[in-house]
Amino acid sequence: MPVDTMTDGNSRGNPWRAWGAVSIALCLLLEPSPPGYATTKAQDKVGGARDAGQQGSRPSEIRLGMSADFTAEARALGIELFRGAMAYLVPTNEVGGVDGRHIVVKAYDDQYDPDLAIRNTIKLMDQDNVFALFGYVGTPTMNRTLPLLRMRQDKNFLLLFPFTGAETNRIPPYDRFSFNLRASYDQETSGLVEHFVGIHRTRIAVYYQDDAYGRAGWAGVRSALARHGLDIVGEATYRRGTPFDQSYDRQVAIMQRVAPDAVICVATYAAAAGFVRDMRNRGVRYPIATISFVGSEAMLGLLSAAGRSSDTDYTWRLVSSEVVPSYYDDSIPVVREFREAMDRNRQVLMPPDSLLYPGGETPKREYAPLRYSFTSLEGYLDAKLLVMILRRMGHVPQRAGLDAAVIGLGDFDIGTGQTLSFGGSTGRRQASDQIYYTVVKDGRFVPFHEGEWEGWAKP
Amino acid sequence: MKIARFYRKTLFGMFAMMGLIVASTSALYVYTVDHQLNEDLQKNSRAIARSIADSDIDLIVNRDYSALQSVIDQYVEIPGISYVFVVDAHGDVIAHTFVPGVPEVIAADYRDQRGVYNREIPGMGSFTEVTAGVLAGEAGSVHVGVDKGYMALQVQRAIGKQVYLLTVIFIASILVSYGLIYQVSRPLLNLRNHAWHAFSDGDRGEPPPAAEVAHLLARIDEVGELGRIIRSATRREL
Repeated sequence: MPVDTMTDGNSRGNPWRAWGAVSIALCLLLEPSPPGYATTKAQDKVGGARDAGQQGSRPSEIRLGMSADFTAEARALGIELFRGAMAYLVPTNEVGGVDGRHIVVKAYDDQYDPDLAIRNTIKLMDQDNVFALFGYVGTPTMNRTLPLLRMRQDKNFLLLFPFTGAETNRIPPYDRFSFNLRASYDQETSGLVEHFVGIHRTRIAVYYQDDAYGRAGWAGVRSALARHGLDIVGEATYRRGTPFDQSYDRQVAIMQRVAPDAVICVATYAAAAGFVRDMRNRGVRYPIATISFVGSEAMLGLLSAAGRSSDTDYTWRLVSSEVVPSYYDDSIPVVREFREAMDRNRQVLMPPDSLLYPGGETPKREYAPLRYSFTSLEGYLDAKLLVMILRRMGHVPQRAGLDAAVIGLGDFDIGTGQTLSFGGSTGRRQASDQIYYTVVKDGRFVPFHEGEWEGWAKP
Repeated sequence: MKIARFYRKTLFGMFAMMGLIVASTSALYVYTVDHQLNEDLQKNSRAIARSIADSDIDLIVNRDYSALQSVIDQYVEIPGISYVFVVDAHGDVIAHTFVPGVPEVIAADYRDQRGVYNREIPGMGSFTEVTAGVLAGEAGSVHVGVDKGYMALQVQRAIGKQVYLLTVIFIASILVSYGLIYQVSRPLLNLRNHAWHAFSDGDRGEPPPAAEVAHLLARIDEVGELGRIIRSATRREL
C-alpha cells in the first residue's frame, strides 16, 4: 500500500480563508530565487526593516530564517519540515500571531550543500535581519554554519531546532548558539544498538553517508557498541546526493563480506532505499535500521514503488528510529492536533513554486507532498515550541532575550504526553530524549513495541 | 625549390641544432614541471595534514567526529587530494573520505606511521600519502593521499602545451630557414647555369633568362663579382 500523499486536490474548507492577509505577506517573503539567493522583491520588502533595534521583529511580524534542501536529493526533508511548521504557524497567524506579530519564515534552498547553507545564512543575518535561524536541515550544512553564529555572537543569533541530531551543536563550543527539540543521533543509535544487542545481534555494521551526518551516526553506533565491549564489524559509505536508481552493489558486497547480524543506516531516504533494495535483491536477510533523518515516508515511497514492480517486500525487517511519536497514534493530543492542522491547511503549506522549481516545474520534478510524515510532525512541534517561547518574550521580542526565554521554559509539555525540559541544573539545551521505533505494516509506519524486538532475535 | 648543395650541410646543421634545442628544452621542462608539481602537491598535502593535525586537535581529542568529518571533507575538494583519513590514539580510523569503504590495503597497514610514502590502491590508483602526527603522534595521525594519476595528468597537460609550442616553432623555423637559404642559394645556381652555358657547348638545357643574368651581373657582392669575372673570361675566350 502506498504512502498517503496529498494528491487528490480535495480540501476541507476554503483555502483562501486560510491565507488571509497574513499569508499574503508570508507568500511574498517566501519567494526565493535561484538556489541560495533571495529575490529582489524579498530583499526590497525586508530592506526597510534593517533596524538593529528591531532585530528581525517589526511591529507586524517576527521573521525567522530557514535554509534547507528544497530542490535536490534530500528535498523531501526540507519541504516536509517546512510544511509541518506552516501547519502550526498559518493558524497562529490567522488569529493574530504572537502579540499581534505574524511569524514569517524566510526560506532559502541550500540543496543540502554546506557552501550554499553558509551563503544563505549570511544573507539571512545581513540582508533579512532575521530574529532567529529556524528549522535548518542537515548535519553538514549546520556544522558549517555554526562558526558564523559564533563569529557574530554579539548579534545574538540563535539556531532553533535544527533537523539534525549531530553532537556538534550539543557540545562546546557551539552548544550555546543552538537549542534542540529532538533527541540526538547518539541517543537514536544507542537505542538501536541496545535493542539489537538485547536480541543477541551483536555483530553490527554501519552504512553511512560519507559526510558529517554519516560520521555523527557512525560515532553514535561505535560509542554504544563500546559500552558492550563490541566494535563495528564492518562499514560501507556512499556519497551525499547519490540517487535511488544507482546501484549500491559495492556497499552490499562489503556487508556480505563481513556478514553482520544487523545493519544501521545513517543515510537519507534515496540512498537508504537503494541500499535496502540491493541488499534484499542479493538475498541478505538480516534486519536493517534507519535513523530519524532518513525521511521515513520518502524512503517507504521509493521502496513500495520498487517492491510493486519487482513483487518484493523491501520493507521486511526494516526498523526506523524516530524522535517524534507515530502520527497515527491518536492517543497523543498533539498528534491529533497535527493531523487536523495538516488536513485543514494543506493547500497553503507548500513552499512557493519559485523555491521548489527554480528552473520551472516539470512532471519529473514535481513533488507530491505527504499527507503526514514524521518530518512534518517534527516541523509542527518545532513551530509550536517556538510560539510558546515567543509568547514569553513580551511585546517587543529582542534577540538578546531569546536564550533566556528558552532556558526559562523549564519543564513543559507540548502535547506529546512527555515532559520536555530546557535549562534546569544542567542548563539543558535539548528538550527531548525520547526515541520511538517504527516498522512498516500494510504500507505504513506503525509503532514497534518493546516486546516485538524479541521476534527479530538471532536464531 | 632547389637548394644549392653548398648550403645543404648548413641547412642540415641548422635543423639538427634546432632539433637538439627543442628536445633538450622539452626534456628539461618535463623534469622541472614534473619535479615542481610533485613537490608542490606534496608540500600542500603535508600542509593539509599538518593543519588538520594541529588545528583540529580539540575535535579529535573531544571525539567530535562529525565536525572533524566536516573539516576533512573540505580538503578533498582540492584538486589532486584524493583522500584524507584520521586515526586516533588507539589506531582506529575515526574519519575518512573513502567510498564505499576504507580500502583493504590501507586497513592493513595504516597504523605503520611513516612520513611520505607511495601507495597502490587496487581500483583507485597510485598515491603519495603524507602523514602528520596529532600531538606528536600521541593522539593519532592524519593521512592525506595525493593522486599520482592527477599529478601525471597535470604534468602531461603542461608538457603537452610546451611541446606543442616548441614543435610549431621548430616547423616554422625549418620553413623560414629553408626559405632564407633558398633566397641565398638561388643567385649561385643562376651563376652556375650562366657559367655552364657560357663555357660549354650549349648542351645544358635552357640558359638562364637574360634579365636574371643582368640582375646577377649587377650585384655588388661576391656573386656579382664572380659573374662579371665569368663574363670577362668568356669574352676573352671568344
